[in-house]
Amino acid sequence: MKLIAELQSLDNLNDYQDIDYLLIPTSFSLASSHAPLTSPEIAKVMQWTTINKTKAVIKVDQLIENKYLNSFFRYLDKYAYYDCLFLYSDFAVFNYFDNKGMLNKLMYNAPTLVCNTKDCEFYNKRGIKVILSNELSIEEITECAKEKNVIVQSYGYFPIYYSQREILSLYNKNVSGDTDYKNKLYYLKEEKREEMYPVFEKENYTVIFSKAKILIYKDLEKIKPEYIFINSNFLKPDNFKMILNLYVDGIKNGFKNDDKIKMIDDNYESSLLYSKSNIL
Amino acid sequence: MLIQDIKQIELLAPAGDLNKLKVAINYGANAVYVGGYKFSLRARANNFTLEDLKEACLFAHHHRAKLYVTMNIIPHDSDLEGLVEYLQYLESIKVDAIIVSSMYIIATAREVAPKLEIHISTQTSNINSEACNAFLKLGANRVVLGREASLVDIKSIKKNTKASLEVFIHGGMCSSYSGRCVLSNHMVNRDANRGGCAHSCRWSYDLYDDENNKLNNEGFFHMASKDLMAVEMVSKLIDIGVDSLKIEGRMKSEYYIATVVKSYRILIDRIYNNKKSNLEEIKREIKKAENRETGYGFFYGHMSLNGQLYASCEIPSKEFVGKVLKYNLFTKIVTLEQRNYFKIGDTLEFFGPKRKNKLFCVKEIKNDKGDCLATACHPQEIIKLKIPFYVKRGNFIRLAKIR
Repeated sequence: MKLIAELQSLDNLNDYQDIDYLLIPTSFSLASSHAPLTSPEIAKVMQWTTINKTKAVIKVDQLIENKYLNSFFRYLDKYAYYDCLFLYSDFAVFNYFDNKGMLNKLMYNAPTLVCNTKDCEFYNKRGIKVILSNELSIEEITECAKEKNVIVQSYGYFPIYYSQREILSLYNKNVSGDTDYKNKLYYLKEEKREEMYPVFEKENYTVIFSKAKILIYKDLEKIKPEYIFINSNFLKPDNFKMILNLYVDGIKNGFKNDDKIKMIDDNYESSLLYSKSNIL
Repeated sequence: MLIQDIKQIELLAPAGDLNKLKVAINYGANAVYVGGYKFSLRARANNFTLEDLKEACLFAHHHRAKLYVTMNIIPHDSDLEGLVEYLQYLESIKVDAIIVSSMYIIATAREVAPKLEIHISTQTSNINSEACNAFLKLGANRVVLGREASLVDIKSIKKNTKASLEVFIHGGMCSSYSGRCVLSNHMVNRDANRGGCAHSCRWSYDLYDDENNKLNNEGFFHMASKDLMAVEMVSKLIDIGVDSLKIEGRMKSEYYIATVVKSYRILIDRIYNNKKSNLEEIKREIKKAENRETGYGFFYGHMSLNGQLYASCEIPSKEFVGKVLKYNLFTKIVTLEQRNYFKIGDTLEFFGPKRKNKLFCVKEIKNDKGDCLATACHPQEIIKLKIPFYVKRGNFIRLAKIR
């Protein structure tokens, strides 16, 4: 089992020494609360990953508007031949790497769209790693994870709504407010419910996240995925480091007890892991 | 070159059942998309049985229209049972295309039902030419563009892909990228990507900062989208060379489909005949069937202030008052099924697919037993009116003026 996590900042780079794949936030990243890295910073991280035998993964998983396509491809051109992978969700990226015969440099991250073993197989056949949907039961995840190249998000918040609309700024304009809503964390609460959903707006998009962090630990013994992913969004660096260490320990010694993780941060949920979703 | 020799843009309409399909085609749709009981994303639409699909195909082809079948759920393993047989059945009854999101369904269709065209659903949110090219290589014939594509982007996409392009011009819009919202799964345990969307984006919310201060002190926070109405865009989309113009709404009524399809049909035909249209008049006509505010969507670029809804508002359309069941040429009595309230003194408008609308002032209302009524106020009651002109079975009746 290999561990994937997203870099929070250059300051805590050394916390990632024991992981296998390091996601690098860029200006084309989706749903990242971390500041995008500049080219020199990416170069520095790449150097670090080479020394530490960790694989860098450039995170370019936004949907790309046609008008930005050329500049986006110029960005990919810079790193395409580096020893790194690319986390994507737009099929323009698939086409770009397909044309170069390098689909095996890809990780697909449109998690709401990957819900069955056969779709996983499609990506696996092409050498693409794929992040599973979080709207699956443990049984469904276990089945999908029998395929190679399947990634299971095991900890952290995850996106449940991705829009090109800047819904917070549009609201602000409508009430003639003067708040700058971008790049800050807010929460939405439906009028008849108690749960608070983190909402985060960046230039040209908004993401709403799960109300709590998904937590799959003991079940990893049963699921046995090839890859697990820890989403570091909105986690305090100290907590994140402890959680990372517990997963590293789990990989080495077995995922026996999740009490320690629950003690670090009690805002976790089982999401839909133990319930069957309804169609109507 | 004669006008009939020019390859015209397709007007693609939704249909939730066989009656709606017939209405859509009779009112001018070149193609209709429908869902079967499996693999379709509108779990609450009536949906088509295998027999219905066969009849739909025969009806559509008889009227030189095409039939597309939606298979655009994001399937779980348990949904995939019977896929091969279903695809082969659709091919055998000569369905023209399937609308798909799952990579596995695309690959399977290519293998077991190669005569079926594959249209990539908007659930995969394709908004650039290279994504279209990727799907073309994977065996697709057409890409239904994400509603987030602007006119400028659509023009550029068309230049840079050989994929047939379909663009939404009318109807409801997700607030998110389609397929990328699972609010419904997490709030009410209904799977949005398998047809169970509870429209959580249309609900009312409170907005808090990270210190738990409520920020919306005057009214709720809303994130829902206005519906799309792209009457102004049609001639531009024709000029760009888009292949199909799509109307959303498999859950919508026959009346809605008739009104919207007829309006766009008239508009498209006038464009190809180099005749000017009164766009405001067409918009007024369409609005008679609308129950939400409309906007231009993303056609002019990123969503602006007036593309969003800032209140939870549905305006029930009361204009539709009935549907003609029969007309007796000798007695001049029309028998109709009442749908909404009308009364003596109201002016009613009768409209059908290929005729001018006709007005009539109600002087007498009778029920099925011949009793005189002051009002028609019971939905689905059989009503008789004496009118001086011929109307056809299936024609719709609405209030000419809102009270």
